[in-house]
Amino acid sequence: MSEYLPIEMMVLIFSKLQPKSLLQLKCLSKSWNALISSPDFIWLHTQQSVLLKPPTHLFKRYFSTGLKKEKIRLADVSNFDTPVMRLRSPFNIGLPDYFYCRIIGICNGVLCMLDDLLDHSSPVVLWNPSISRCLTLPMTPFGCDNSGTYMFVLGFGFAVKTRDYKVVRMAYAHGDGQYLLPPRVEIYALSSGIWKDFDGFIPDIGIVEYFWTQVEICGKVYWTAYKRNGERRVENLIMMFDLNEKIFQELSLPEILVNEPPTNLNIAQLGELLVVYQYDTRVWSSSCSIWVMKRYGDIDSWSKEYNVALG
Amino acid sequence: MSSSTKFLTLKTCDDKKFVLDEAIAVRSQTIKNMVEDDCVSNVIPLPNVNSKTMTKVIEYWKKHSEEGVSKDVLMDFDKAFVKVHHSILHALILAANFLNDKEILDMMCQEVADRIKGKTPEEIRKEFDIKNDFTPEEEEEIRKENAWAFE
Repeated sequence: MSEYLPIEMMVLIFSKLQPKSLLQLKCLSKSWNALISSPDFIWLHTQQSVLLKPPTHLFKRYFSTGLKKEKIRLADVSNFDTPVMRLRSPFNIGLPDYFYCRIIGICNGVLCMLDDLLDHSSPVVLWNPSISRCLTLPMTPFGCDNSGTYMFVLGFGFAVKTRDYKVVRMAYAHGDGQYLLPPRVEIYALSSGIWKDFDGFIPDIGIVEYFWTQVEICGKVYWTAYKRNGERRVENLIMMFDLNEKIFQELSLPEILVNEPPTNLNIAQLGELLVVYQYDTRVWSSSCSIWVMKRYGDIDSWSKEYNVALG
Repeated sequence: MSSSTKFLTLKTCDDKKFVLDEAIAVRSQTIKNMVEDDCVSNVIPLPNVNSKTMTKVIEYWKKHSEEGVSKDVLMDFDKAFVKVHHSILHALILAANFLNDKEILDMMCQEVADRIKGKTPEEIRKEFDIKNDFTPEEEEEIRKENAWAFE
């Protein structure tokens, strides 16, 4: 059939199939295998099945008190409490008890994960649960043998321009009782399979160790960050890295958040909108305010939309 | 029939002519664009569609343009409409794509997908006359690489 139908039509047909069926079709014939494995097809399929459709599923991460284990499930958007699929963790061999897995980010259904609680030298893993494939990234040539002297902040997303998944890693060196600015920045591109030093401008902006989060929206990765302003004062802001243009940019937070302790802030997203969580205090938090930037780039559009009491 | 009814003549690649109410023919976005751009002469050539396929398409268009047809009747019609040999399915997909009729295109693609779902690779090959040109070793290799999908 693929011999007679143009690739766009095959994509239309295949976008109506589950990824699992699609993988099975690879063994039909050489031409089917070649089609389904080709980058052009994968890109068209990503557009048709992921980018053009509203999300249908959510990842649900929770701690099972019975098993005393972290679990990740796939749940339907419309029915969050009923998991539709158990996911086999990509870290399935001999997990140590202290294992902590950070989900750096999720993009087009691909998870970027890292176990960085105690071990800065553990590798970054990309995991696509819908085809049950995972890829362990090579170690970066820089800063991994010396855990403790560096702190790392990462970002993950998809650059549409080059149709490439990218991981950004910022390495902050320790010195003089604090982390030195600016960090060293390396970028991993899935297409090349290697880490490269970023040689563009890197702003003197700090990010809170360990507590950091990131979001990626339309090829731009965001973190809450801070600038040092004199000896003891810091000013909070949002730092953005554009995966397509390869530039850092700063965005302003609402005035009331600028002088908060940086540890109290986390970035998140609501649809395509940037969101900042403001915890009352970081450890044993009792409440969290959720700020939404309603118009991108417009500082006046920040609005406190929700207050959540934390148990 | 009102005096304002306009008719278009469609000519398929095998030189068969179909005379059709313009209001029905513009279900094809391609034909609609031609009509709107006023570049319609007496006959609209459809170089990518043969008469057998066009007959099916027109059958669909006419049914879906009839007034007072209940949803149930249309559903039954659609169900019967897609029950054709895969070679006709393919021809209809190509025709719907050329004519830019998203409704037919989507319905036909859904039918192909439904015929794939829940079948073993062997059954799918049979359904669509696909020749397995892998050696047993090569096929085994691909099955191993994607073992999870075959569980």
